[in-house]
Order: sequence, then C-alpha cells, then structure tokens
Amino acid sequence: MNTATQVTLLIPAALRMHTDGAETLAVEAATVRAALAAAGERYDSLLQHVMTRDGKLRPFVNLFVHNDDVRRLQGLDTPLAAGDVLMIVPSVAGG
Amino acid sequence: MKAKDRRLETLRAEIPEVAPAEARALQQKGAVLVDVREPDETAQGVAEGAVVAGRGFLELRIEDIAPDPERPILLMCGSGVRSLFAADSLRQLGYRDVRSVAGGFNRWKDTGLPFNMPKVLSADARTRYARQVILPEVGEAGQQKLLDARVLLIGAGGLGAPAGLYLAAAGVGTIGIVDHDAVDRSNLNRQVIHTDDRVGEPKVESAARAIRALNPTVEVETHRLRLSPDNVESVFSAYDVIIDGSDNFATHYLVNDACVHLGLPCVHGSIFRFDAQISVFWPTAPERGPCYRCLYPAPPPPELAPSCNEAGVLGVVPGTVGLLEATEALKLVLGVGRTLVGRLLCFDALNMQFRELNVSPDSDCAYCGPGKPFPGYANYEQLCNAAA
Repeated sequence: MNTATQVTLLIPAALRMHTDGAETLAVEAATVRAALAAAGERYDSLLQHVMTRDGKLRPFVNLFVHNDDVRRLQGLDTPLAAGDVLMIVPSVAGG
Repeated sequence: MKAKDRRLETLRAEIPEVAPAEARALQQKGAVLVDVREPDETAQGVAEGAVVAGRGFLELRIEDIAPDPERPILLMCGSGVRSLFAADSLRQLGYRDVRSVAGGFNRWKDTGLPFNMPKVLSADARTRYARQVILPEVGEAGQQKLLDARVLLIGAGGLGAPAGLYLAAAGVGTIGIVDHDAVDRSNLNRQVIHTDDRVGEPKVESAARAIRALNPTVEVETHRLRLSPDNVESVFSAYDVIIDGSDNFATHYLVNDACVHLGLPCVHGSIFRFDAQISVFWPTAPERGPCYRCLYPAPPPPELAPSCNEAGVLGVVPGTVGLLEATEALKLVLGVGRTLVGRLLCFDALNMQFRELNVSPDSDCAYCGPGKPFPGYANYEQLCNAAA
C-alpha cells in the first residue's frame, strides 16, 4: 500500500539559490527523511546543504513540523501527514 | 458646614476606617494596600508593600492592581481624608470590601510601621517618559527599573542602530556598545544611528553621539574593540542584558558562550536578505530556555554560509529585527509579558509572515546541558572555518 502523502517544504531565503528561487516545494512523502530525499531528487545541492554525506542532518540546519523541531520528535523518521508543512531553518548570521 | 465636610461625615459613617496597625495586619492576610497620594508626597516615603496609584488614575488602574472585586482593599492617603473619597469611588466600581486607613501615611509612620523611601523620577524624566509611565506594565516603578538597567549592544550596525535608539528613547539608564569598526557610507542604508557627516568616525562614538542627542540622560559606555575570549567576560559582566546584533557566526557563538557562562539573557537577532530569526537564549531563565548551541550546535563552513555583504540587505529588515530585539530587552528589564525564551520567531519580510517555532533546551548541549562544566571558549574563527 502506498502511504505517501503530499507535504510542503518551506525553503528559506538562504537556500533558495538551490531551488531556482522556489519558496515552497510540494513532494510526496510519509516521513521527513522521504520528503528531503524527494526534494533532493529535484535539487541535489539543496540536499547537500541540509544533510551530511552520511545522511545526517547538518548541525546548523533545523527542520520543524507543526512548529516543533524534528530533533525533539523522531528525527528524520518523524512521520508526516497529508498537508503537513516541513520548514527548513538554517542558521543565518547577518546583522 | 462646607459641602465636602458634609460628604465626609456621610462617608465616615459608611466606610470602615482601620488604624495603621490593623491595616498592616490585614495587609499581611492578603488585603491590598493602595497609596493614593501625589508623587511629591510618596517621594517622602511609602508604606512597605503598598501599591502607589495616585488618586487621579486610581479608577483606571485599580483593576490591574486588584482584579478580584472581593479582595479587601485598604486605601491610604496623607491623613485619611482623600482615602475616604477614593474608597467611595471604588465602592461605585463594585469593590465590596474597601476601607480607609485612619490618619493615613502620617500616622502609619508615627506608629513606627515600616516604610520605604522610593526612588522618584526627576521632573525631566516624568515629562520625557510620561507616555510610557502611564502604561500599567511600566509605571514609575518600571521606569525606575529601566533607568537602573544596563544593556549591552553587540554591534552598532543594522540591528544595533535601531535597538540603541529605542533603548535610549525608553530611558535605559546605561547602554554599552561594542564595535571595532568605523562608519562607512555604505552602512547608511540601514544603520540609522549614524549620519553622513560621521563617515569615518568609530561607530561606537557615532552611536554615542546619536544617543546623547536623543536622550542626554543616558550613560553610554563605548567599547571599541573586537570581542574575543580574552575580553568578552570583562565587558559582559557589567551588564544585565546582552543584545546580539553581530553579523557573523564567530561572534554569535562567542556571545552565546559568554552569556551561558555568566548566566545572562542573550537577545538574538540575525538576518539573511528578507528572512530573519529572533529569540532570547537564556538557559538560566526561570522557564529554562535553550542556548544558541542547543538550536545550532555548530556553525556552517564558509562555503555553505554566504555572508551578509554578498547577500545584500534592505534596511527595513534589520530595522524591524533590531526593534524586536529592543522590545525583548525592555520586557526582560521590566519583567513583563512573555519573552521569546523557548521560541524562535522567524520573520519573512517579503511575504510579511511571522512564524513562531518551539525551541527547547538540549540536555546534551555541551555548553548549557545540566551538570555540564563550562567547556571553555573555542577558537571561533577556526570553528567557523571548519567543514561540517
């Protein structure tokens, strides 16, 4: 049975150069990991900025689902439901 | 008999009067003691535990002071006359148990009951801050807290410029400014504390001039230096609140680590183009918030983090964020409202959206994790140049 559902990734300004300027990406995915993988199929360099080569979340990037940090949920295995919004929040330093 | 004496006679028959010693006992059992005298009178002393609410604003403020109309209220004036009229007003507002302190503050003091000498605002301060002192969240006591406060701005740039101006306007008594740089004409699209005729001047001096011109009563302390592990604690330890308006990762991490070590609240703001993040990092807050490293354990390597210079910036974005930081600093000083401790506010100016994210302390955080000794300062330049 296919459990994939459509979710939306919010792309911050700091990473939009990797998505041809797109602010949102709609992907089919049932977990955070699958959502990132689906985004990475379209935009490989986006994935490189979010994940390390060995598939871990980089220490300067956070992912939020329903306003909660996935590190405090089930990490990359955090489940997603249809309509969920996955927000990518990298550290920025400008002032 | 004059009309006011006839009215007083009626009120004395209707409103219970209590001797100061009895008022003190009732106060200790939960009654609220409200001093309705004028500022020049309360400057001479206020009964311990009394709330000062001048007669002119009593009806407007009483529901903030005593939201429960069943709570006993004891009214005090100088001699026990105006407090009877005040009690009559409160009865009409629906307060059921209102009493007047017989003999007022004069008898309270003569009886030997405890009182405090409040710090009072100068005539200049009363005028300058009039529009904020009337806010129940500020009041004279809050204004005094602001005047006594010491706030440090890290950077007199895009974030520090608006923050510094508004902190000065609000009457923060001492504002420290750390910046090693000089004013450049290209700063002026956003760093509104500087002016064209001060291009080339040290930013700390330029900012100090602007603050003194706006509010000469503010003490400005300039620190023209580059923050480092060697000087950060000696600078920070003299302040109550740190506003991080720096523009690079090395300084954000150094500021965080020093704030964690010293137990200081760090009001953080950072921007990238039209996006911004604002929070208050304060692990020793009563509600135990995260530090910056709980959220971002390590900085990005340079190739993954385009700098602000390359990114470009429209002044209103750091302007908005600097004012949000100033707002949080003022709330921290006043002890009012709900600060951004435990929340990361993400601002998207292009779409004009604010999103609030929950951020919690990381129990394994190397810097603020419970029971972890302070690991010492890092080599921040190296840290920010390392690949992650």
